Amino acid sequence: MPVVKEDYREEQRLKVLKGAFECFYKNGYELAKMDDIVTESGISKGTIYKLFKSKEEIYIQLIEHISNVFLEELKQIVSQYQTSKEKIAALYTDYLLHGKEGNMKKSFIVQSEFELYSSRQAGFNEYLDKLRKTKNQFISDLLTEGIQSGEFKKELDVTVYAEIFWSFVSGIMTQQLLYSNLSFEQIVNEEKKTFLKKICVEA
Amino acid sequence: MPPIVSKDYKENKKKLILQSALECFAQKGFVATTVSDIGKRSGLSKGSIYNYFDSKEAIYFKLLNATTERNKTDITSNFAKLRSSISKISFLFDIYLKLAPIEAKQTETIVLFYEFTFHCVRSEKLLDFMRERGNFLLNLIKETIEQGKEAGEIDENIDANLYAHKFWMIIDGVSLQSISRHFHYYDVLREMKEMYLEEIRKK
Repeated sequence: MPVVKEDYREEQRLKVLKGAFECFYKNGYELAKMDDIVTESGISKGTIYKLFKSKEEIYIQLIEHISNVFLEELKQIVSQYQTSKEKIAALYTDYLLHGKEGNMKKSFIVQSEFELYSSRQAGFNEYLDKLRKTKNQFISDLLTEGIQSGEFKKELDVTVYAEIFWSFVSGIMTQQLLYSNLSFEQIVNEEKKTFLKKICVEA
Repeated sequence: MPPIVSKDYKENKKKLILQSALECFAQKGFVATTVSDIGKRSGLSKGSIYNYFDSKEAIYFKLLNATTERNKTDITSNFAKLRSSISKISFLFDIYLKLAPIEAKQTETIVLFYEFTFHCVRSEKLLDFMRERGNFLLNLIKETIEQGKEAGEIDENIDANLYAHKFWMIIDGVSLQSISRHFHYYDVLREMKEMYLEEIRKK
């Protein structure tokens, strides 16, 4: 039955991506060998090459997958709240503070390295742009909703504030990698307060 | 008697290696570059490169340290001219506001630096080097904040160590975001600078 075959194929594809994720995290994309991905995913090399043209294609599909899963997680988090203010606050608390911790660090490294890699690769700009655009759009939509509901300042530049949010995330993750003893929780909580104070209409 | 190799000769060789390495790193990336690549570009054998440097990591550290030393001198002389703590911190932000990450050369430097940073995350020894390199500026900001507290310019509840890291968090964040050509580097950094200064200023 073709349906089962498609499911099986997808299952294998995801297994390869999961294995590749671990390998790229451990050694970086450049040093990861196809053989490592074979070992990590338990899928044979022949099958991997039927599913993907190259290691690079695995990389591209992996990043797309991570970014989709990540966005779903964020949507899921904010959907539990009513007001825009609560939604933004939840990005700091429910996602940054209580997200899947180990995974967040791994994903950050793998995604950031992809961005750095793509800046050097001809024709990769579109991937970088798409990744950034989806993330920024998600935040700027939340901010726009808040302006419409009268919670956030009318004059708020939603593009710049969406970028401020992601700059904060990149920044704290990087400092955390270098200095693991930093008080992550305190920094996130303070940033949440500062950010909300900036965007909310004064009570 | 072995031939006497002059100091100048050695210095010139070193310079040649550093310059060639930088070109290779910029083009291929740090991880993908091998010592043989650097040899080929500089016209030296792999063995003779190892006479001067232990590893490509050591080569990059040497390049990095040269920039850091230049920056230190520049910052120290400017700090001597500035009176208040707030104006000193403001000056540090302005160094980054004066950069032009949109320019290819600057993006190259940023990409290489963060590629190397993430590479270091995989080795405690390399991480120590990175942390040590950052210490001068971290301590400088800490001292400046403490002085500002004493002078009554900066809120006494501000945790100097935390805010020193927060400064770097902002810089790391906007630098990593800036590799996308659509990022609003100046708007974001200017706004984040204002938010930072507002937080530390005595109310």
